[in-house]
Amino acid sequence: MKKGYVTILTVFFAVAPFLAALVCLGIGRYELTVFETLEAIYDAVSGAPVDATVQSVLFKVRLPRIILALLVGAGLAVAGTSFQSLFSNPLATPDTLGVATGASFGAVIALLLCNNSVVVQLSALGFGLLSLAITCLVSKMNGRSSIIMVVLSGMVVSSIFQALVSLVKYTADTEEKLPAITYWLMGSMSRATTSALLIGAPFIIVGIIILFALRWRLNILSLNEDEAKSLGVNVKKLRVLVMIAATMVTASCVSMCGQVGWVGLLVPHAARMIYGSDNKKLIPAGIGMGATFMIVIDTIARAATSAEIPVSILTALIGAPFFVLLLRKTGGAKL
Amino acid sequence: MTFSVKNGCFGYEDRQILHSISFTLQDSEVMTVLGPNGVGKTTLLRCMMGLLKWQKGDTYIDGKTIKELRSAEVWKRIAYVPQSKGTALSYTAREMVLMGRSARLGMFVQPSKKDYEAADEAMERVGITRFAYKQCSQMSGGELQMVLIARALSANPKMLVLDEPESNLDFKNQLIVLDTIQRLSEEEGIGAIVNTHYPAHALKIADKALLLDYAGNSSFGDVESIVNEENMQKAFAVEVKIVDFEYNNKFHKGVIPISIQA
Repeated sequence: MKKGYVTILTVFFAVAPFLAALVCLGIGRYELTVFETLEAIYDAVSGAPVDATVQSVLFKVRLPRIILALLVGAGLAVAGTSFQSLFSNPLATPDTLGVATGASFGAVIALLLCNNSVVVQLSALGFGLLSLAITCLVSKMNGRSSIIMVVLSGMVVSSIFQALVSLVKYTADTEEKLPAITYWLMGSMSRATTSALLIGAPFIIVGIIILFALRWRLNILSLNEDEAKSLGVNVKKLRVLVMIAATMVTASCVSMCGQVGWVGLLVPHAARMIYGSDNKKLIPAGIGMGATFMIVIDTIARAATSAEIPVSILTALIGAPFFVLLLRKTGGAKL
Repeated sequence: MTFSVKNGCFGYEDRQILHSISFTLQDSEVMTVLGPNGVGKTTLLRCMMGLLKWQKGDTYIDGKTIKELRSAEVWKRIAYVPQSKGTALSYTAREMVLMGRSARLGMFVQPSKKDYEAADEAMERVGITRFAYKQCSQMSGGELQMVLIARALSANPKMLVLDEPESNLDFKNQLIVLDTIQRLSEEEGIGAIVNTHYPAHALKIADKALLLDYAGNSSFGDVESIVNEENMQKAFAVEVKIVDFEYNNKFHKGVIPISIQA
């Protein structure tokens, strides 16, 4: 790709999340133009009186949702990119270590036992971190764990939690609980409230900051172990740090909006097609592209039809053809 | 810099591989490690750099053991050039070479302009500036090998450790790699330890040689005294003739395998 073209895209992805957020704030059954939205934001910030409907629709309902979509999109893209480097495998996803499945089980069991959204969120987060702990324990052989063992253990842990999720669904009351669980598993940003964000967002933000700070080191992590060590990197420490940060992001995303497939694979790949494999560029690009993508998808999810469409259905239905188009256009990532 | 191994021993449960290896190299000296397949040449390199732990004995850099030094201190002095294999994720030559700077940067620090300059300079030193933006996955074996050498050089080390750098390369690329090692030693005072399958290459570029054989013997000394017909015959179980000739006022040596010894 030509250098000038890449620069234009970079500038675009730097501002795109904010533009998308601004436009999407006004979209929905209660419609506002971009100027009306801007005016409302200006009034709110400057302390001028804001219309009550606008206040509640814009700032109580849509804004938390858009912030959540922004964080989830950016977070899953960064986590996916990091895991791909960590396992030097371009097919790795945020769920490779079984974290998303673990978190899903946590949420599902909480949904079965009670209906408190805070409990659901905390349980999902807790089980997500627990699944990482189990994966690490299982993969440890003779005091050290190889990357292949880590990936294998992730698959095992993931399938165990998947089975447990099925078990919960099987035992759930088909009138009330099962639809709730199924709907939850398909993912939705509609559970975004300020209080949910206050619990979940810090994990995502801290995780993204850590991975952002380590972004150049991720390149070295993708080399083989001897090579990485010989470049003066403390491989063990770096790996653990990346795993914990990426897990925190993934578990927290799942805890707030259920399983959102595809983003963690699609966005990093789209970024790779433009920027190559250098994580120094990929991580910032992933933040911009992931956030924009998720805001747009979520707006379609809530505004396209009168009933809400689950996000994971849209990420696959819109994401997959878009991905094919990109593949055709660029001839694939420079792997 | 003085780099030495004293009484290094290593083995796995069922088999002892390296028996009491000892050698010392001074500034800018080039040593080749010779020996048949599977004798433990790569294991020796990994042990002496601390990537594997010696069971007995130790590696010394300027009199200090490698365990006493912080790992970043070690990797500022010696740089490793592994056998060139592709990675699943492909970087451009410049991105790859830049990674060599990592021993000189803190964990959360991003490379600065100075580091990019060092990477560019390293590429210039080995003459690969023209494909700085080429993807490693699209390079020939010879090009990739030179990228890995440049990556090692970007850390400004005192010594290079190269694992069979000229295997799988054609004549011309072999010469490019060998000439580069020789030039770095003669002009920039950067020493090297080189694993190789070619005794003739040892005679061409090395000052010292270390010869390993299956019986667990190792001999270390000046390259002329180690690489001779008798020793080669013993180590490789092959009848070998060494010929030398003069061409354009320069002496060349060839090591010719004649037949497998019964």
